[in-house]
Amino acid sequence: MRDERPVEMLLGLVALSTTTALVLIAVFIFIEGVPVIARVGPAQFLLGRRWAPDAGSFGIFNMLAGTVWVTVGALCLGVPLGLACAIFLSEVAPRPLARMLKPALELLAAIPSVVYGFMGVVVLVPLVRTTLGGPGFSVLAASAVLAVMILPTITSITYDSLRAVPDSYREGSLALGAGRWQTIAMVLMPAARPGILAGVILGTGRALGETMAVLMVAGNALRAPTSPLDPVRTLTANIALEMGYAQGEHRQALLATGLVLFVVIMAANSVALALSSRRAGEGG
Amino acid sequence: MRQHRLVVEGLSFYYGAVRALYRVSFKVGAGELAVVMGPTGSGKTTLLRCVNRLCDLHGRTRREGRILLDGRDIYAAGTCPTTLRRRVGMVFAVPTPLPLSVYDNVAYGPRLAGRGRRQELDALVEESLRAAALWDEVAGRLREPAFRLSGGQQQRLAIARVLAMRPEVILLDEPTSGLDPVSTLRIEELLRGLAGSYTIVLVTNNPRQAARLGAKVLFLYLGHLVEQGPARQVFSNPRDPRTQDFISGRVG
Amino acid sequence: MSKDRADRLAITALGLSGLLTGALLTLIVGHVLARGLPVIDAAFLLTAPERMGRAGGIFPSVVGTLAVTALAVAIATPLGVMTAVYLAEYTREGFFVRLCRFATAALAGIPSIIFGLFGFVLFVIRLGLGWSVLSGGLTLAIMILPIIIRTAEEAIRAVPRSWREISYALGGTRWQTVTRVVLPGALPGVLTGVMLGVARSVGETAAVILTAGTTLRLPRSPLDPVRTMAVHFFILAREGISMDQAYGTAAVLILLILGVNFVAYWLLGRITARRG
Ligand SMILES: Nc1ncnc2c1ncn2[C@@H]1O[C@H](COP(=O)(O)OP(=O)(O)OP(=O)(O)O)[C@@H](O)[C@H]1O
Ligand SMILES: [Mg+2]
Repeated sequence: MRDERPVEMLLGLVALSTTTALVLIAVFIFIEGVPVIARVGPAQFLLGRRWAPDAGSFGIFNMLAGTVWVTVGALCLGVPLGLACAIFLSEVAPRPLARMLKPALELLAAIPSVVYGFMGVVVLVPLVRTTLGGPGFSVLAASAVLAVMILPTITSITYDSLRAVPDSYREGSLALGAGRWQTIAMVLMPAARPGILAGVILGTGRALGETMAVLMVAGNALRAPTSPLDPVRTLTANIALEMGYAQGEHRQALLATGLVLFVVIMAANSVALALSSRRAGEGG
Repeated sequence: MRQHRLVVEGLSFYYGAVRALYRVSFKVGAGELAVVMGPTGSGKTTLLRCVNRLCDLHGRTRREGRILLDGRDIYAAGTCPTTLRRRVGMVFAVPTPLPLSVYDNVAYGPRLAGRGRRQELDALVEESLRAAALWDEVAGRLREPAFRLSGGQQQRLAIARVLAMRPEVILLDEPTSGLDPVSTLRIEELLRGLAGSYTIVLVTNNPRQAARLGAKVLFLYLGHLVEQGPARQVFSNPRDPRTQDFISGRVG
Repeated sequence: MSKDRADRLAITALGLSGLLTGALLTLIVGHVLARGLPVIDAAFLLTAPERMGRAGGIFPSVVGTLAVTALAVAIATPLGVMTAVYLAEYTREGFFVRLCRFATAALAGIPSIIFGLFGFVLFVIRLGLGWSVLSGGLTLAIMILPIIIRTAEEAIRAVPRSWREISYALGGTRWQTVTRVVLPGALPGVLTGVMLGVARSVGETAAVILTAGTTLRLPRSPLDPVRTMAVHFFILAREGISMDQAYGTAAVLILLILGVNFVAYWLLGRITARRG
């Protein structure tokens, strides 16, 4: 009989590919990013307000603030819409309609981010400029575009966790005389909470990391915004804008920016993964 | 004295905390047809799966006792389960063709064993289908997907698939449970014909089938081998009241 | 307000949000196609651009996109399928499997700009591959690996257990069972994963712009830089070079991605249909 252990070992080795990739990414981003942070000082790097690569000052605070503004805005717009959408698909929509909308949602996730950015530029930015004033390229425009982009993530994960709630919960609540909305709000949503939270966190990760669409509509001004109508530059946009020509320490500073982003997103996603595995564990 | 092909000695089996078999011992001679009967959940499938080591595929199980094939312990260190399974064929309760053509289903086992030469395979496939009394019905449809066959044909295909391996022992797990009376009779007839050339262990939950096949009968009850002996004796004069209840239809 | 009124109001609001999502997709796709389709013809797809893309076609970008995507898929598919086979067929739940699952999920959550940075540092600079088809393809391969692993593993697990048992019972080894019964059975699902990987690669910009470059020339070797369609579209739109050309490129991109997605879900539908 042929010995199959070599095959098994090979497969096991290949199975480590994602782990290897993850470690490699972490290692290289750290190697390249840490020196600048060490030289500038972590506090100065994170909280410094001056980003002047030519002068050797690397403070990312304004862009950090920009990322926070844009992400929070995206969540404010996207989470309610995403949750509503998921509830609609899972609890309200007649089956045929749900069967049409679900793929629509998947396609929404497949549209390239540059197309979203472009739609933002040709539709949203002029709309903001004419109705609300300001340059149009703004926190608001970026948040709105991102809200649409994170919609599929939030909706599909929420949808799955709502579907995982046993029908007996629904029937029990309706049998006690609760209305449909009361059942949704008081029984289903609490039961699906860990999954919903995981979806929101993954959506947040997506918003934090989105680059091209934001870059196209946010205006990229190197100031911390004071209103939703101000232009902003996010961490990701800064990397994409300057990486093409950056050299030496400037390049390293951009990689350090990537490092900050990587750490934040890994932390957020680990929490989301822990939440969703807990849900799986509970469901049996 | 006739050489015993299959010897089971003190076999116990556990699925985690669930114990499915309690020190089961019996012997089957070469060319003999043994029928294991018992109510549902009594451990019949588990017993068969131990004999060709399919139970190795489950996680968290434990086994005690020995199973000897031609005097050799099939669980001895260094015994390859794959080689064993080529000698001990298995037909499952639910007739399940592989998602292949009729021909490829029968040729599947020989190909795995490296017998891939065209002419040899053609002959082997025909011979196996004839032996399984299926050739006349499928001779013109060898290239068709096997799932298009009827349930009874699919079960005879499963038998042909095993015969093509030229095994020494054939295990059948309730091969007629999903079939109508006519198909059932055809399969029983077929098995009677195969006995003699093959050592057969047939599992059934139907005492009348055991009686009809009229061979050596073993009665398994909640994991215990309660009774064994020639069919005539077990059915006319059972020693254990539980056997009596089962064959008269009061249990199972 | 009565309970029923509140109920109806809430349900209506939910319905509107659902429809809004559908409408958004229709509007975006409709707008791009309405403006872009008139631009597309054989010449647009098959001729080189003129004056930095102000006129002419997008042929080098089409080739660049296909090259980078094909490379990514060619690398990620075997790795992903082998990983899925290992996870589904060769191991039991345990530390190793949990580690692989965590890494796969974590990788799926990393934003593309980070993949771009990583690919730039490792492939473009350290390994000296420069901005090239090779660097871009390798980077994208890592990016789509989680998609392929997950769909393949799901498809493999959906193959009926009875098929495996029959194969083992007929003396099949694990590897024979995997290659002759499990993988053929899982093929539609595996292909779905590959298709989704293709769609993701075709539409990707941030990771590609940092690793494959922006050079608008036909690549002659895997070490040549390319400008994929997504990057080309980005540059046309952002630098306001030509709106018509931008819409045309976007329409090609969207048609390609929609087509690939339809194939993917059609394949998926076939498995669910077979399983009943
Ligand atoms: N995979 C498994 N995990 C845990 N317990 C099992 C497993 N398979 C069988 N059992 C248990 O072992 C006992 C014997 O089962 P087995 O399938 O061998 O019975 P059987 O006699 O073949 O029944 P049937 O006539 O219904 O096919 C039962 O109590 C069953 O619940
Ligand atoms: Mg059974």
